[in-house]
Amino acid sequence: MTEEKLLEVKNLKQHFKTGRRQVVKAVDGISFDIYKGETFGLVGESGCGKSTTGRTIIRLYDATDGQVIFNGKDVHGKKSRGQLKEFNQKMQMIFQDPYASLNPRMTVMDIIAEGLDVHGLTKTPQERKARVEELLERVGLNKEHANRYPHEFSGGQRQRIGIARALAVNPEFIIADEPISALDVSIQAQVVNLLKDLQKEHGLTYLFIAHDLSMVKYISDRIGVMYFGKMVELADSEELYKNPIHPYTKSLLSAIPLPDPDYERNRKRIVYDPSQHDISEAPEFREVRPNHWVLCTTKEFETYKTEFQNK
Amino acid sequence: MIDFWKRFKQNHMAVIGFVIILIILLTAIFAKWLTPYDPYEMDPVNRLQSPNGEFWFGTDQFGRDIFSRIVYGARISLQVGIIAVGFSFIVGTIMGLIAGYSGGWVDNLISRITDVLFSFPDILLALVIMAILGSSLNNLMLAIGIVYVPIFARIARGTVLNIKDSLYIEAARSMGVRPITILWRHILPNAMAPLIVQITLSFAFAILAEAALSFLGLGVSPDTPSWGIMLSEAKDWMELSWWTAIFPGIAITLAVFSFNIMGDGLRDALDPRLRNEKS
Repeated sequence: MTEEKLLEVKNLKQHFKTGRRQVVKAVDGISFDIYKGETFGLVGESGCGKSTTGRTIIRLYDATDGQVIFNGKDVHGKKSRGQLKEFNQKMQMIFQDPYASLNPRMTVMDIIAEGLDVHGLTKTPQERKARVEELLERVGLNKEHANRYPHEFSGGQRQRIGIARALAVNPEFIIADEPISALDVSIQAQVVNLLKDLQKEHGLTYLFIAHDLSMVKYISDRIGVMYFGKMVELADSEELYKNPIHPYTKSLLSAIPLPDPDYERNRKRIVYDPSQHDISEAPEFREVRPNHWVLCTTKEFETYKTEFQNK
Repeated sequence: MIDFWKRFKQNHMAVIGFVIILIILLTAIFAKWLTPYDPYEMDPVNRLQSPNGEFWFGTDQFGRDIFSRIVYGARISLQVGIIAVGFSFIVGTIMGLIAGYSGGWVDNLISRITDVLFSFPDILLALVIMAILGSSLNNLMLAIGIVYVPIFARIARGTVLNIKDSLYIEAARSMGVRPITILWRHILPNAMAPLIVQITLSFAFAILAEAALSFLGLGVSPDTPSWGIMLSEAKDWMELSWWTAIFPGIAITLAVFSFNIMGDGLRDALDPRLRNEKS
């Protein structure tokens, strides 16, 4: 893996007004980098802002504050159509619900070719058809499927159509927003493996958003843990699973069941209690071990450090 | 589509309505070959003849053949229906799509305009518009069209609000599809079902409105064979000769009734909630 940064997210904030004075801080100042060719997993409980992060990065929402730098260029704020077009082509998204993310009135051909049409990537109808058929076969469907409508497909097949749509414009970066959580367990592995194969083939970079920790560990190189709009811990996936530091991460990991009766008998749920933190000091993101960042106060930082020096 | 036809077929009343509409449409198209007499030709000798072998539906006070006039009247009724409803469908749907998709002050503005139009009773509003524009067939169609604009605007807006937050719209937006393309290719096809139903129902209203306005003397010129005008003229003679009023009345009733039952059938066939119960 090269250490070239593809995407930099700096102090990204996304606040939604829910009432006259009420503001929901869905994403509250998170920063992270994604390197070229890696898969960055983003985990956290429901409503912690992981999907909002993904959607804000791809500009479905306008960020309240902060920067998103893609290939060295700031992609937020006012942009000309040309700049947006380039960005829209290089960054694609795969959605959580394959039943809702495909227009029920469009054929699979038109759905997949939408990006091609927007960016004018194919010149003739024959070329367009050939490209769609090639994509369909690449994601494990038949080219005969091109003229059918989404409701004729199963959930797993629909998600493959969604993947083909994202791939159509030769993107560099794909945001996968819980792409497997709506699927049957037996299909999940197939789709994840497909994503992995495509990554190898096309040198793609993924932002993989999920709440299924075992799946995230399987696919991700690095993982960020979010809690209530903040990034609480970020590390290589091996490191994170071996040495979780932040109490919330520990709590999350303690919730994964394993198919091992001995382990299961002794598995204890660690319950995260946010009040254990000293709130007199605003916590900061600090590097406790090399490439292992944790959101902590100065005091906690010292404790974490000594804890790991002994290991 | 085949699915839809199957569900539509189960509703026998709707199919009957559809067939009657088809017959009316064909009579309007082939009026020239179906009529034994010229609908404008007056014949003082054969005034107010009761229905007989020669004049199937009798003749009116000028001796014009009522059957021929009713057949030609289908043309006027359908013409008014198609153009007036077409106008309100196009204008109303565009207004509704824009209001629903853009939101904010645009939505507010368009919604308030439709509210104002809605606050007048249909016929009264059409009367006022006709009084301002003067009576002619074109103005009649325009007036009826304007009256039904807000209905389409509201239905379109409501459906757009429903659709615009769905994931496939977000998917299109994330790919950089232009808003106008999103409206045209993604939102409109998904918003069509309730609009199609409204078209058939409005058709019935438009035919009625044309008849009512013609009856009140604000429609087309009095010698035109329009069902409303025939009814209006018949009111002075119907005590003597019932056929002058009955047959145009039946024609109006039949047309309106057919459009209504077909609209009901369409709605049932297109409504996704009913879809699940039946299958």
